[in-house]
Amino acid sequence: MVCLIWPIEARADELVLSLIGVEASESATVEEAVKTEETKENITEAGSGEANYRLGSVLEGQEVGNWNGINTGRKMVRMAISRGATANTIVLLLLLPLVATIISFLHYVFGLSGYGIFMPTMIAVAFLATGVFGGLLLFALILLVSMLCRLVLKKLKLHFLTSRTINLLFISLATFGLMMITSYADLIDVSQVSIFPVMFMILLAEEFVRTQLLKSKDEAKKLMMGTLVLASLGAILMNVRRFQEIVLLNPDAVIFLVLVINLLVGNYKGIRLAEINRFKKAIRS
Amino acid sequence: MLSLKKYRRFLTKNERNKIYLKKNSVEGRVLADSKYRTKKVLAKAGVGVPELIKRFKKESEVDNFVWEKLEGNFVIKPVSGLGGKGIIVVRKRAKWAGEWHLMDGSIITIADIKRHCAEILAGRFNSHGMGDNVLLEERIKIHPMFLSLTSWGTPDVRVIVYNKVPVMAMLRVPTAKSGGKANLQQGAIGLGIDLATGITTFGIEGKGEEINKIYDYKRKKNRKVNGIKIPFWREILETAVKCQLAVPELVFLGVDIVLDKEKGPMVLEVNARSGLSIQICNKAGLKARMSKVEDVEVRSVNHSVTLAKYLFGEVFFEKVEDKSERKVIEPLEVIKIKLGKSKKNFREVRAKVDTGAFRSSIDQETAKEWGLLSEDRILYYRHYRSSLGKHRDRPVIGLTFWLKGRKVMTAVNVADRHKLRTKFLLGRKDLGGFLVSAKKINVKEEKHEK
Repeated sequence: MVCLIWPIEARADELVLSLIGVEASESATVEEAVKTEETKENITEAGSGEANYRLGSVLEGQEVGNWNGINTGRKMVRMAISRGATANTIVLLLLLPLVATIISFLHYVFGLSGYGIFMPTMIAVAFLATGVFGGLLLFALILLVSMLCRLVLKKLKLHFLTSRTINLLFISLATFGLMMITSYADLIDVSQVSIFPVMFMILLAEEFVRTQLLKSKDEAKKLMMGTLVLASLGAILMNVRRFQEIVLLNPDAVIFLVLVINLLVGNYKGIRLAEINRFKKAIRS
Repeated sequence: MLSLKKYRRFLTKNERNKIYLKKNSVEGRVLADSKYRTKKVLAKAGVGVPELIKRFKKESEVDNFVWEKLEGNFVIKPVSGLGGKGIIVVRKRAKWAGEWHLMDGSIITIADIKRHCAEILAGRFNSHGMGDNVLLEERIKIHPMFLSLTSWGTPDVRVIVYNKVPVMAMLRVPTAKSGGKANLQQGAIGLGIDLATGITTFGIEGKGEEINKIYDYKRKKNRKVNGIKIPFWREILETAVKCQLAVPELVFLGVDIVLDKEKGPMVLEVNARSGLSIQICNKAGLKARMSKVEDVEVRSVNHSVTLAKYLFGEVFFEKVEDKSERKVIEPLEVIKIKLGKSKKNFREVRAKVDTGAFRSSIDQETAKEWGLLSEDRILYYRHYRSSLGKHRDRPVIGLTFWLKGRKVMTAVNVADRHKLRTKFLLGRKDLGGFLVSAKKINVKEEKHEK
């Protein structure tokens, strides 16, 4: 759980592992070790050793053979790796359009919508770095600060941009505070907090406030919940190791699949599942 | 198993975006986005719009304007505002110069107004977050009938016009929840309106919650959502059609109309992407209605309103049904066909009930004789294939008749029935709410009539 909340540096983790190893029985140690390893990886960091090593070795296990057209992607991946690109980044580059595909499918066919396509995808990546639970916690904090700020700033009647800046200041302070508190409680290592998840979540909170202004509270809430659900789904999916490996080994298939699904969904003119419920009331008995 | 067949008549989001919004050109959408340009184009076409006092493009213009001289009755709004946000409605001058009362009685000062204008200019209320202009215009004096339904803001009528024909309409009433905005997405109330009569039918609150009662602020009690008559109904429909004629770039158009108690229908704005909730408060499908007028060539504003009236008018048998049991009709019935405006101007004709036919039809010769084939009565021509394989175009006319004392407004085929005994055939489309008795026709009586 702890590890889910914040990425923990590998060194600290090994320390924990060895501590466990001293006290627990051998089989338990192995189990624990596997479990810990499952969660400590962070593929959003290019230099993250564990994930890179695992994915790299997976690549080595695959025979590519000679170029025959449909293995262009595979060849390119090998080439990039040999030129020093990290497997993490390549996997993420392939995963992003896949996650976006799932989001657009859910939007047009099921009627589950978030803030466009980039917002849920970006938050999914942020969740990948912080863990879904940790990400939700961080977002809840940022949103809370934003709303409190808005309440106070509304009274001050400031210019729009200045009030947003003050809002940003308090979000920064709150994030800093959260970092300090959790580090004192030995939950996270402060040096591991990346700015990008925080930035993405500030963007989401901003989008929420903006939609509230332009459309309505209900709409904003609905879209925000949709974004969080989609992002969580995306993050969970991207975190599945087997999935990462399949994607890395079959880049050509991924590209083909993304294109085909989007062309199909892009031409879908039918009813969205959520709309059935909406129009049910419009049928006269 | 869920059957989707019943849902085919509705316009869904995917279909609206993929098919119907594609018909609206970029120029049209840009025009609809600017309240200033819309106002100019519509005023030129002779459509009523709120009078413009001034447009501000820069903050210095706001500062230099002599606000003190305004007596009240003005509105400040962004040119490209979204969902009715950023609009201030000022009622009258307060005790001191440079202070006014808002609609709810609170006070606004020049400093407040200037700050609000600055926010609009900075683009706070539009979708793209870029600079915007401020419109200062005359306040519309809302018709008392509309005023009785709300105490926040301005109720308006949204009419959807497709291919120059009004296809659906609703009355939008702001609520406390919607913050005075007549926007369903923000929680306003929507009441469906019968296109033929301008009488409300069903109601929803927000994007889909069904309601049966609405509070009447004048009588201080709840009233039913159905049966409210909208004044100036014909003028409202005409205004909506004129808007599309003035902005032909928008084929699928939503027009927002407010009734001024002196000047009649006024257009606040036109929408290039109308919401779909209007289908729920009308309990009718937009797609089915739009496909009916897809190929129709509209000749005039009058023709367009007639089309809407006869094609999409509601059948009000449900109300009658409550009071008495279903009316039983014989296979042969005498109906009264309305010929002119006057109540006495009608003809009686013997009609044969045929539940196998969908639409009713009338004999060509008879129709011609009674002057029913005049230009303004013909809705459109329809291609028919008779059982003998002959192809011909027959006119479809709008007709009002009484069957057993019940008024029916409908579209009727004109057919060659000169060899047949009955000059009118009643199709099942116009027999809703009636029971057809299957008893044998009295042969003697038949002969006698002959």
